[in-house]
Order: sequence, then structure tokens, then C-alpha cells
Amino acid sequence: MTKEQLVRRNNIKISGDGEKTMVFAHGFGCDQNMWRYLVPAFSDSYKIVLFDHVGSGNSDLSAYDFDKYDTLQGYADDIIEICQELALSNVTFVGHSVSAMIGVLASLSNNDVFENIVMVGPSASYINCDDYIGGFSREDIDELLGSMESNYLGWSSAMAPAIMANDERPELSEELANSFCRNDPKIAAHFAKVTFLSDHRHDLKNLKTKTLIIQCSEDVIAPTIVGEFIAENIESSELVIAEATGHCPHLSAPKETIEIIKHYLNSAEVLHEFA
Amino acid sequence: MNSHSELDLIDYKALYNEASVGYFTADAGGYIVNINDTFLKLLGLSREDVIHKVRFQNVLSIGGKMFYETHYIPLLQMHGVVKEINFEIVSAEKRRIPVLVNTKKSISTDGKKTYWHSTVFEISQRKNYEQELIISKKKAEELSEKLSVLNEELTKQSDIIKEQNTALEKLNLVKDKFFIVVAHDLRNPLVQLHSFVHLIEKHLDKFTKEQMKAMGRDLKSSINNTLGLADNLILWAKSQMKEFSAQKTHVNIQDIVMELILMNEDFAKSKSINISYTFDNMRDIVADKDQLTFILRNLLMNAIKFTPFNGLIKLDVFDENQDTIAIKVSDNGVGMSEELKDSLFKMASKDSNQGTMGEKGSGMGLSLVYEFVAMNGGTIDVISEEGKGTTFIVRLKSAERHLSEN
Repeated sequence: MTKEQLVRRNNIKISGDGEKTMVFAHGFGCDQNMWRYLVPAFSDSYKIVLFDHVGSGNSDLSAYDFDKYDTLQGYADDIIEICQELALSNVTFVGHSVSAMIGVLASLSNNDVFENIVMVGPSASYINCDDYIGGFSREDIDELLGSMESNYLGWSSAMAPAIMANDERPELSEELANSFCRNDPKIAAHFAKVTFLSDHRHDLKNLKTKTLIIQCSEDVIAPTIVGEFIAENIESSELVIAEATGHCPHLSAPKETIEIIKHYLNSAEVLHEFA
Repeated sequence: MNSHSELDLIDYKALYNEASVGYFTADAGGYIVNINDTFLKLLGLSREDVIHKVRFQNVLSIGGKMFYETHYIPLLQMHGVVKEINFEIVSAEKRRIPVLVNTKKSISTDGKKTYWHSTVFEISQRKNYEQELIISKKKAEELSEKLSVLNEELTKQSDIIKEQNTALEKLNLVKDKFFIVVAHDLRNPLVQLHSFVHLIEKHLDKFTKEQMKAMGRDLKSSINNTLGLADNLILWAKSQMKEFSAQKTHVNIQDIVMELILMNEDFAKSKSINISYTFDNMRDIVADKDQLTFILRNLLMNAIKFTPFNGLIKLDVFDENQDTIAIKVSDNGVGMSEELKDSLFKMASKDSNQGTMGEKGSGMGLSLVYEFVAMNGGTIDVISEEGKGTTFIVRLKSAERHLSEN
């Protein structure tokens, strides 16, 4: 795959200056636009790489292979491909929700690919199992997958016009309005299934990459106890419980999120210099 | 003036509380800070239970909660407004109520606080309708899938029929050609007979007895050939109508071979051809006796036909292994080209070759030989080189017990 094909497949957008790189990976349900409140804070000192997972946002939907993306490894392989093809170095990988685990898998497949991982609202497994609390029962997940289908009837194609009639944020272009959070129903249902049935608890122990975990209070998708589990299982990790509530602190509390990430990266830098 | 006073009479608070849609306002943290009676009634909760205690996602189904976090909130944060989001609300009595929610961001007058105003519209009936649509859609998709499978099947069958048609047309052509060859072969002896009769009728007294005898011999051999051809024709027609089956018995191969050699002695002698034979088999052959005779007669006659003066023909019978007896018929005659060898057992796909003395053949013999060998569970192979000769090897099943002593 040539660089141009890759850029088109994952709708890759590169901006900012710096020797170091930040790669932002969106979670289930949205696309790279969810990072827009965070990116300006880092584009002075970092090269910023934004992309859409294949099947989401403005990615090439025809590249969606139901076999390849039947596990999160398919997405992880894409990220390694992106880092190698774009010759990215000193990468800090920021992954929201399911993309946090995708980052773990990418790092386990290729240890050199990331310098740091920043997880926003991660979960290693969503379903309660023995002592582990993931936050959901299997029935809950089945209900979600069912509700995906019923919601999409009125959601997927009818959503765009409603978003376009948006006067409050003129900075959002029409193109963005058309694509944001609008997914192909079949692909979205598959992505949801792969995401919410994934279980990568056992992969955490093998991760050597330095990791920051940002967990919010009152996050339905990833309760704080899940964040604690992840922190306990990753060797060099730091857990920060944000004051922000919900699952998307980078949207609801971008300032706080930026501060947490900057503080972590700066201290990591200091440590690095002392080492 | 009247209308103005009427407007003044409207109780906006009552309008809010008793509206036909649910209203609520949430603060930045998601907690409900204001709610109308309609929505409270839908939830089955009291105002005290809700205000500052319940967040909107708390009353959603699990699927709804996740949808709320992954779609609704990101959209709201990005756009400040969302419309017609379908959620399922779970009431205090655990009743599931489908609703559409519109939400709009609002900033307090001092600019310090953010609120989210929402409208909640119950859509139970529309949801039922939607469900029916989904079921119909699924059924339609299934049907369309079945149709495409059927379609594929039909296309396949149509392709097969086309192929069969082509094969039939080819076969028809072959048969047409075959009839011309046979008719031609049948005509020759008749012409001969006609001229013989003509001679007897008109010029009987001009020939000596010896001359008449010689002509009679020629005619006889020609008629014999024709009879053989006619027999073959009948056999072939029967085989085409699948009337044949092999009546397998234990056959003493030596008897058959010796009889055939005797029968064709004159024919061989007329070309000074020497026929030798060996029998090294310990067992009988299991085959249909008439068909085996037919096979060997054709192979032997062919060998004589395609071997020139002073040629050699060998017949060797031996046990190839415990189960198989091989019969080898070899000559040092004209041999045949690769091309001819390939089409040897196919019925009259070309004009039949003439023998070294111009002997006739319809090409039918070998195709019947092939069919009979197959019917008896055997195989036939041919080794041939142009100018050097031809060897046919027929392999047939041998009987389990040894040959009887006599």
C-alpha cells in the first residue's frame, strides 16, 4: 500500500510542528473530529496525526474487511502501518475508549512504535466476569447491540441534516457536519460487537510502554474500577481520575484533559532527562 | 384587544408542566434541575426523587446509556444541539418507553453556567411501526438473498444445458459423417455384385469356369466383409440404445484365439502374413464370451489389414499380476500417427483408414471394442509408431481358480 492509499484509507490528517509526534485515535461511535478541542494545545510542540479507523468517519468504507476487523488486532495493524509508512518517531499515542486497547495491541506487536500511550476512558473488558468488574452483563451488551440496530433506522441517514442546521458553531464546516458520528449501520454494528465483546485483560501485563490512564468519574462505559484494574496490570502506568464526568472528557472538559496529559508528558520528559 | 387579553390568561407554568411532550433541563454535570409533569409521569417518579439526584442517562436502558456516551454527548459537545435521538427510557415500573429526544445548549444570563434543555417525545406507536418495518426489511433482504441464490442456480443450469447442446450438436455431426462412411462402404460390394450379375447375364459364355470361380471368390470375400459390417452396425446400434450388458463367465482364452486364427487363416495367407502365438496364463478370463470374441476378432483382422505382405503378427496371452490377464496383439505393419491414435476409439470421427490392400472399414469396430472392454471391466492400450507397427494390449480380470488341466 502506498502512502497516498494509506492516507486515503484512514483519512489521515497531519498538522503541527515538532520532532515528537502525537497520534490520536478516536473510539467507537465517532471520528477524528472529537479531538479538535485537544489538538491546538499540542500542535506547537508536536507533529499531530489524526485519522479515522477504517469504517468510521471519512475513511474508505470499501476497505472495511469484516474478517480483518473482526478483532481489534486488525485496527492495531493499521496503526503500525500508519506509523511505519509515515516514518513517525517518538510517538505518543492517545487512544480514546476502545482505541486505548488497540494501542496496547499495536505496542505489543511492535514494541518500538510508541514512546508513550495515553488512554482516555479505557476498558480492558466490558463484561463482568468472576472477580472482574467490567461494568456490564452479557445481557446488557446484547441489548446495546440490539439498540444499535433500532437507532440506526432514524439515525444514520437522517442525522446529517439536523447537524448541518447548526448556527452556534459556524467554525464547523459543512463537510464535518456531514460526516461526524455518522457511520455505515452495518459496519457500526460490527464495530460495536467487536469492541464490547473484546477482552484484553491478559495483554496488559505484557505491555512495557509507559502509559497514562485518564479515567472519569461517573463514566458508564468505563467505571473507575476498570481504570484501576488497568493501572494495576500495566507495569509502568499512572492513573489519573479526572474531575470531568462521562466518557468523553476531551469533549466535555478539554482544559482539564489537556492539563493532565501535558503534566504527564512533561514529567515523563524530566524523568527521561535524568535517566 | 380580545385576543391580547386571552394570551394574558395563558398560564405558562401550566403549559410547561402539562405539555404533551416531556421537558427537562440538565446542568453541565448532567443532573436534572428542572422537569415537567408530563415527563415525571412518564418516568413514574416524583419531582423530589429527580431534581439534582437523577441524571438523564440514569433513566435510560443499558443500550441507551452506551449510546448516550458514544454518540449523544459527543454530538452535543461538538454542536450544542441534537435532534431526534431515539432512546429507550426505563420507567420506575420497569416499563420500556421509546422516545425521541431533542436537546439544545443554553448559557445562563450571567454567562457562567451551561444548561441543556431537552424535549422528550414518546414514540411507542411509531416504534411498533418501525419494528414492523425492520421485520419486513429483513424478510425482504432474506427473500432477495434467496432469489439471488436461485438466480445463480438457474444461470448454472442454463450453462450446463448450453454445454450439453453443443456436445449434442457435435455428436450429431459425427453421426452424419458416420452414415456417409457406412453407406459408402455398403455401396462398394453392391456395385461389385451388380457388375458380376451383369457379366453372368450378358457374357456368361465368354468366361471359363476357372475365371468364374475366381470372380465368385472375390465376390464372396467382399460380401463377407459387408456382412461383418452389417453385424457391427447392429451391435453398434444396440450399444447406442444401451441394450448391452456383459454376461460374464469364465472363458478359456486359448480356445477363442485358436478359432479366430483358423478363421482368418485364408485372409492372412493372401498377404503371406505369419501369425504366431504364446499362452502363458494360469487362469481363465472373466468376461462375456461373445464380446471377448468380438474384441479379439476386430484386433486380429485390423492387424492383418494394416500389415503388408510377408508381415508378422503376434498374439501373447499372459498373467500380468494375480488379478489381471493381458492379451497383446502386435504387428509390424504401417502403424499410426499420434493424431490417429488419439481418436482411435472414437466412433468415425474421420474417414476410416484403408488397409494395405485397400480393405474397407467403417471405424466402428474399434469404438465397439473400446466399449466392450469397458463393459467387461477391462482396459485397452495402444502403442504404435508410423512405419514400425502397432501393439494393442487388452487387460481383463482373471478368474480366481487355476485353469483346469484339460
